[in-house]
Amino acid sequence: MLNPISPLVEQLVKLPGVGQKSAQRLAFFILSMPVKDVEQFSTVIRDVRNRVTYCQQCFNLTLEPLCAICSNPKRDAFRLCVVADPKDIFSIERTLEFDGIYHVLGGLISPLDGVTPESIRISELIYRLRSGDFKEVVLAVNPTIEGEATVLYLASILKTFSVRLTKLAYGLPIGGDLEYADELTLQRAVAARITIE
Amino acid sequence: MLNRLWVRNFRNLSEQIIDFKPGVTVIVGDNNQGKTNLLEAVYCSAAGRPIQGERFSDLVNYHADSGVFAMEIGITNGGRIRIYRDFDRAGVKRPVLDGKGLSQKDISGHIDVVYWSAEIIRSFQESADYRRDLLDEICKKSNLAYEKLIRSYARVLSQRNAALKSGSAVLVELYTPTLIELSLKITDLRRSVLSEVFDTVNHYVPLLPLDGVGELEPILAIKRIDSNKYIKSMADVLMECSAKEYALGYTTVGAHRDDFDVLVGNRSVIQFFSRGVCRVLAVLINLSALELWGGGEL
Ligand SMILES: [Zn+2]
Repeated sequence: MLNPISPLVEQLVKLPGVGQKSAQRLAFFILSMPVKDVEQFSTVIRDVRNRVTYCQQCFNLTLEPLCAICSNPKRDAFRLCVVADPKDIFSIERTLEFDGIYHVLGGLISPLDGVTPESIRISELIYRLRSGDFKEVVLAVNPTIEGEATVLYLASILKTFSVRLTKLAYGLPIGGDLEYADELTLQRAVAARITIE
Repeated sequence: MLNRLWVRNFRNLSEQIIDFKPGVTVIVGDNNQGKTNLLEAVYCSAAGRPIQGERFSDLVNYHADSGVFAMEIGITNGGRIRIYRDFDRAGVKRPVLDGKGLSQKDISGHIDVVYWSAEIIRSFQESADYRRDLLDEICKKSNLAYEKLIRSYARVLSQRNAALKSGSAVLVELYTPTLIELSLKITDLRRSVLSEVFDTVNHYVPLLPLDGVGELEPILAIKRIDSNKYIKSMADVLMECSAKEYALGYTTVGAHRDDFDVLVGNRSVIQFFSRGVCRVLAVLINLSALELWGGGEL
């Protein structure tokens, strides 16, 4: 006989980090919720999925044609921060260190997954750089193997533009211990050391 | 030390409780009575994983779905602790002490295990795979960051291989700098770890009955089979191999091809000495690593 909750479990395991067991726990929790809440929950999922689109300029998530950052006149429109995913914008915004605008690539170059420079938004980036007057482009991607490859590619493409090209510095975790830092991180942190003013 | 082992449904051992006395334990028995299985059970219960090349799916008794390891370990302050762990075909569960979950580290602090069998001779056989595995195990123990380095290397290697298969030189070149950076890092680390190990091995070598090796002759040396390739910079080599690499669809140079050779008095051990000598040297290499960085994981 078919387990009555298994269709729900089947959907929940599609979520990242949710295994069979947690999916089952979530399914039982959903069953225990008031019908009204479950309906609201499912409506919101459908609504958000239908209404959220990509910003026409930077490809951030938005409900309007332009995202909140691109349409904010207080942002420095001459500084561009290139990220892999919209979620990276959230991380950088939390630091309050960057007041420029963004460009979302929508992935990182990864031949293993069939992702080439053509399949992410690099031509859109070049178009923006040609039509804008940027002073600085910050490459803010994770220092993973794919991130480094993407930075390398962008650096070679962007050097024809007269723009200051920067990338995030390698650092040591705050509260960390030099003794336990992995050698590669430490080596790069030493190489990129900064002058104390 | 291990005072008592209780094992259930491990290979052909349906249920066994064994008390160990201080000192050396010798297990004697007819063939197919489970001597080796018992040794493996000690290793698995302490190390939390099967010996190299085995899987838990093959270790559970044919008639059962799951089994138990339990150990009573004498600890340094004179006390005793009892650790239980269940296992099934999917693997071994977290160890439990007095109903509380432990990590593998908690156990390694109390008991060191190393498993050696006649297989150890493979360290000196033709294929480099076994030697590389051995090297990786030793390096992991000596350097906490090594495992991460190896994982990154495996990633960059598969990306570069995928790029080679796609035939795009632009893509291949995106991964070459990281491949070189990580390769040199890993190889350097392996070299320094090996030289420490061999310094230790050298203390034991005069005790070996090696024909034709004078007492003062240089006894053991590490030679990279590929060393002449590394004299030139890796980038040059990659450039030279480029056409071949595109044809093959994989990377031909790098840390994944590292190997080492053990020489006694400038003669390759595997070529010039008996299997017995090879085996003893393999044990000495493992023993030296243990002496340097402790056991539990090898
Ligand atoms: Zn935008």
